[in-house]
Amino acid sequence: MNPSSAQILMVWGKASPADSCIRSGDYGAVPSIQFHVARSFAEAREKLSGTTFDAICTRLELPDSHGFETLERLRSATRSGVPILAMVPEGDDSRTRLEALAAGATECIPETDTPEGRLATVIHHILEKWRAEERLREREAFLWLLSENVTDMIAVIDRDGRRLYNNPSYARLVSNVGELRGTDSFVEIHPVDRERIQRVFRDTVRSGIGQRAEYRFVTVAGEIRYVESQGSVIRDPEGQTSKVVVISRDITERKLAEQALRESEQRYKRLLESTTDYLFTVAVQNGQATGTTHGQGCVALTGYSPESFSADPYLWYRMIHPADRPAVEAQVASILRGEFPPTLEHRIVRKDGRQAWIRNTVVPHFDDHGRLVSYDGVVSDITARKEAEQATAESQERLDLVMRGSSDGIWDWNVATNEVYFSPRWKSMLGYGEDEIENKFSEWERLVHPEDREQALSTIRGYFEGRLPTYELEHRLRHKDGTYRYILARGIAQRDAQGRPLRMAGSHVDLTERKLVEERLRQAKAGLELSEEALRKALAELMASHEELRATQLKLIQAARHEVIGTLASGVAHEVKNPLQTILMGLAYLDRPTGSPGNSQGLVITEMREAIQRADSIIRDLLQLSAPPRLIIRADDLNDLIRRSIRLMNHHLNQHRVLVETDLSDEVPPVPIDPGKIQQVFLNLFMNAIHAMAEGGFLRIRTRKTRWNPVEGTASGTDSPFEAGEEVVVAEVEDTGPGIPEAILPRIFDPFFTTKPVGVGTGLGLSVARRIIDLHHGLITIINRADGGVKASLWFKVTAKTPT
Amino acid sequence: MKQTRILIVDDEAGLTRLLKLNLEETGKYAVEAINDSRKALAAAERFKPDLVLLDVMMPSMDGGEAAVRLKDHPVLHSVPVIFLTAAAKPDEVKEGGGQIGGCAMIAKPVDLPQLIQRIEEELSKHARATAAAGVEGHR
Repeated sequence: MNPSSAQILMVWGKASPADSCIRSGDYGAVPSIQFHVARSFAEAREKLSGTTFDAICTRLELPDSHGFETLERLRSATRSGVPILAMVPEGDDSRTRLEALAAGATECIPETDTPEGRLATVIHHILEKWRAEERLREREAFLWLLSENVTDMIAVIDRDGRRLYNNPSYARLVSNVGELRGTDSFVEIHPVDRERIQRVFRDTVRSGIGQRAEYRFVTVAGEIRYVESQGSVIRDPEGQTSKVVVISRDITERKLAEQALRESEQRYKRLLESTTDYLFTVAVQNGQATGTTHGQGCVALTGYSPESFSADPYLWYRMIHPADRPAVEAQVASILRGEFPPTLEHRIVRKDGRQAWIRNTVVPHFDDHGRLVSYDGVVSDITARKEAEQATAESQERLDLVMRGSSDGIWDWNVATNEVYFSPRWKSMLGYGEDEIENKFSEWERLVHPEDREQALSTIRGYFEGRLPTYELEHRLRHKDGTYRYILARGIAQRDAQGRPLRMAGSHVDLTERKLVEERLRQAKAGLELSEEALRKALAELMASHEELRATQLKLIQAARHEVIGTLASGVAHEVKNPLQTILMGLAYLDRPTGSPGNSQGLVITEMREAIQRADSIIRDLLQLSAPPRLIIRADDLNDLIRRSIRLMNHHLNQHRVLVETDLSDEVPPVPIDPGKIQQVFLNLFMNAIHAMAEGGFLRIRTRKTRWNPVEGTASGTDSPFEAGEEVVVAEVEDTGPGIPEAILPRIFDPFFTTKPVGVGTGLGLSVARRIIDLHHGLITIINRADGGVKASLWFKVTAKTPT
Repeated sequence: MKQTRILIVDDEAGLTRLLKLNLEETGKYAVEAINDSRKALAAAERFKPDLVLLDVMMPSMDGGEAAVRLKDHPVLHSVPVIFLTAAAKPDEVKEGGGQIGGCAMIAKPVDLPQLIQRIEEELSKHARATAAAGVEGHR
């Protein structure tokens, strides 16, 4: 609708004065109206179908339509809402007006009251009024629709607080929205809130200024809903508040969420306050940490305040124990890559310098595009746990060391489960390997000696029940080899509050060796008395056997003499066979078949004669040696005998340029000797000395009286016939020759042993000499002197002894 | 006819003189006799004997050692040796002859014919061994 150019259809029927007015277009104050004229209903109907008119003004009487029917027919041909003005005849016929309105007229205009000039003004006023009413109607309809369809609750209340209108949204609070009109609008408000809300309402009515308020509404079901209301006032024409419009909203969900949030926040705060753990948040931009916020708990754990961390961006890093920094760096790098790194346990150095162990768990936050925007970390103090773990580990390590190093077997018995830890040594003590004994109490029961079992179990019971102050038990356990070992068990029980044993641990010591030693000692002690008697017996036996040995020795000595004779015989054989060979060869020559005696005959005879002499000499010496000697003993002057012997040797001594020196003591008493035999000994010694000194030298002969000194006398290694300190006479014969090679010194008394060329000696000289001295119960020794040469000593008894 | 050269080593000078006399009287043997066994090796090198008669018991060096030295000699090692011993025990002598260390042994006293017989046996045994070694050498 365009008010500046209202299109009005004038349905006249016949020419009227108004036509000129319409044509002239002089409409006074409302020049915007454009009139269209129709002379009949048919013409009007035709125009209505082609053009939209803002109003229709008609006479009741038309050429082709009459009376109120005209109105009815126009109404049906016109779009609804388009006003139809009926011009009725002059006269205040209100019945006609009512009938016209009922037939479809919007308004009636008196025909007589329509001077041409005013017509348009009248129509305009009517039109404006109608339009205003129409706008109001439209707005009411809009508001109605609105109030009926919004989720907010809308109520209109009179000044006394009675309900005039409630929209359907109230259905969520009350069951009977349709019956609310006229009821008290405060009755369902929570008693605690009601008075406050009534006060707000009165203030609103008085001041005309709406207020916002929150309160609780109790539903018919008894449920409490939170409601937020905004009041507005409707004023009467005098400006006084006539009604109050209240728009309310159910905020229960929001309230509950807020409350839950508040409670959660409080709980969170309390948690934060009551824990040493703390949270930190690291903001991240483009994969780089840009800032860190530390929770309050960091003070308790690290000694640093959140402000310290904010002020010093690298404090958190410096706080990490240097050895653990690489691990933490790896964790940070991982989370910055958007991963979920595992929880890390590491050390920090607190502000006070003490070390603490923390567990650090980090959780990444991503935005809707999956970009890492921050990460949260939870830091917990695990120092106590770590220290306990470390203490446990150290203690375990110590225990392991003790068990490994100990020669004792260790056991640890869980009394409740009957599981027992047996150390490797416990098992090896019984010959078992690590895997050969299960960790069960029954294993011990299996191995314990049947005779010791009862005693062992009663000892354990006694200790468990407190009757025994300590657990100490000697018992036998079966070794893998089937033998029994004596084991000393000692242990201590760990008990609960009621004193019941929970666990018992202790050691095993192998007493078997000790037991055996003890047993042996006991036996030895018992046997000692017996031993003493046996010892005496043994001594007697020993003495008897010693006597026997002496007898045997004597027999052996005699046997040795027989051996001497055997040696003699083989020596004789050798020495005799050589001359015999010579004689045989001589005879062979003389008996040669040629018969003519050659020049060699004299030589052969000489050789044969010498061979016979030698054989004879040997046989004689041999006879002297082996035949039972017949000594003719008399006390004789040894010095005189020596002088005589020297005279006999004069020729030989001179021939070999040997000078004689004598030192013959006057103190030498007469000695009991066979002078002929002893002279033979001296001659033999002198001859040996002369032969030893082929280039000449000195023969020194001394005699003296002395007392027997075993050390001096045993130089020859011969058994002594003298008692220590016995008075003896010694005659010494020394030469200045080369001495006797040490290798042959032990053999010089052997018969036929000689170092001399063939024919110079028989090899029997010293054998015979010793034989003679032995018969005198004297001694002959021959040694090399320290300054060279040989010293032969003859020792004689001063007192005669009956020759054997 | 070539004479067999015999070296006699014995400390009995009378015996060696008579042995030499008797053996040379046969005309088959040239004999050298020495009485000091220590000179035996030098004498053998000079005399180049075909056979050595060696006394066993001698004061300076016994016959056994003298034999060992001969056997070790690069030239003389193959010369046959007969031991003459006065110290043989009855069981060491079988019918007047036996062995000492692989050598022939004659117990004293021995008469001249038996001595010559043993000398000839050893010489022919040695000749056979030498011939065999010679054949061996021509293969």
